[in-house]
Amino acid sequence: MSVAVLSTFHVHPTEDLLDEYVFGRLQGPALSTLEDHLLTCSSCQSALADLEDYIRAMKVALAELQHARLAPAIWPPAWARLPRGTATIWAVALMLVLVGGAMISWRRQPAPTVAVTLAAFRGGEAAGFAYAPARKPLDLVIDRTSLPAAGAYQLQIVNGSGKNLWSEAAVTSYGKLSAHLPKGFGPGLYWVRLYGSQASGDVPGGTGLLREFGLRLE
Amino acid sequence: MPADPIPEVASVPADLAPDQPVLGVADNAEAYAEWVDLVERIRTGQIDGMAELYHLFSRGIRFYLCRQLGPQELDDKVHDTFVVVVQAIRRGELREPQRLMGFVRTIVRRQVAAHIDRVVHSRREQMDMDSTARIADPRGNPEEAAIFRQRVDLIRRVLGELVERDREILTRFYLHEESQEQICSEMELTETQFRLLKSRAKARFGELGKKKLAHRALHAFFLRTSAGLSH
Repeated sequence: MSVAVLSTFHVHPTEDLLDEYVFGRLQGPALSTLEDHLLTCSSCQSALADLEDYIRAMKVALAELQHARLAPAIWPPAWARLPRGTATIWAVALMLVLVGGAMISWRRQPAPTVAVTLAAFRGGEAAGFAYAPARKPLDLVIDRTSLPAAGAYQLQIVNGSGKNLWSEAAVTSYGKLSAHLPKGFGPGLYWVRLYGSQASGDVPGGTGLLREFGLRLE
Repeated sequence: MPADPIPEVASVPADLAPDQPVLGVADNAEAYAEWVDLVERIRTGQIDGMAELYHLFSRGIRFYLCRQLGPQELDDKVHDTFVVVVQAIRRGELREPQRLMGFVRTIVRRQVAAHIDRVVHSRREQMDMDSTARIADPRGNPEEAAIFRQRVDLIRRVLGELVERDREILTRFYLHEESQEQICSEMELTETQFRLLKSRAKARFGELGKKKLAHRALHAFFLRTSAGLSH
């Protein structure tokens, strides 16, 4: 059977279209048509694989840049400008007191929150995992567009062994679900589960599991 | 080999809505006849029909399953999916042969959903199981991880050279997965400006990557040459 006859589609998808597919924004007939094409077109399979590698690397790079910008400075610059001579000892002692006080004050301040977008367009591959810094508060964000409708949503985080570590009702706004994780977890792989229920107050286990997202903390 | 190469489209029409079909559908007697013939051969259990079906779809099924479920036990999953497709065709579940591709795709998607469901439920029930034995490192082997890390470092370097606004646009698109329409609307960009930024950034990463490879190849060449001279 010739490829022209086999493929019911005469054109290959553009990169813009593949972007939409990778991000899970393609729906309905357009999605069906593209996936049918991908079933039999090896060049487009390769193009999609290359694009996913690129997007995966971009996500990690952008997340690292964002995290680096949010990290606070520890030492105040003035400590380097200590006076010389016999007064230095007193100046150093005074600076240590000031710095110690600043560190205690800094530790009491809440760490900056990092926003993490969760997507479940595939499983088992690096691109399906969201990456976030360990031991930092997180804002977990999920696009509601493709989710089934529910009266209320709940997020739960489990570790690799399935142990429940945290759960919280998700807030809906501007087409997104979000929940705040006040204290981060240590480095490792976690799973974020999204449950839907008809009424608020229901707990996971008695309601439907809608999605599961991979979250790697580093 | 196909007699007629399939033409490529340079860009998506500007007025194309996401829910409209983006690719044309062939609808001719020749195509229909070949689909009917293939499906009939499979339905009647002819080996050449099943072989042709496998030849046509195995790569695509493998690709789709690998994207969705990872590389673990991929051969088994492809085989299981193929068996389900053949059995469904033999039971007469494919009523319109020209929809064979959509039929195969639907079965593949169901296989993926069923697998994810099984994994999620087994994870909930087996709380004391050693998770490291079941979860493959998504970064693959150490060499792949190192290559990936180099690529990320390269991209970070290029991103650092961009102005803040361009970096914000790329962050919103790739990291926060906002749509092109939303970004253009909120940041007062035209579609062309957005696409230019995306393609320029990607081209820059590609250039730097090639230079790095060329530099590494040159370095390796000089190492070999000097090693040869020293003997």
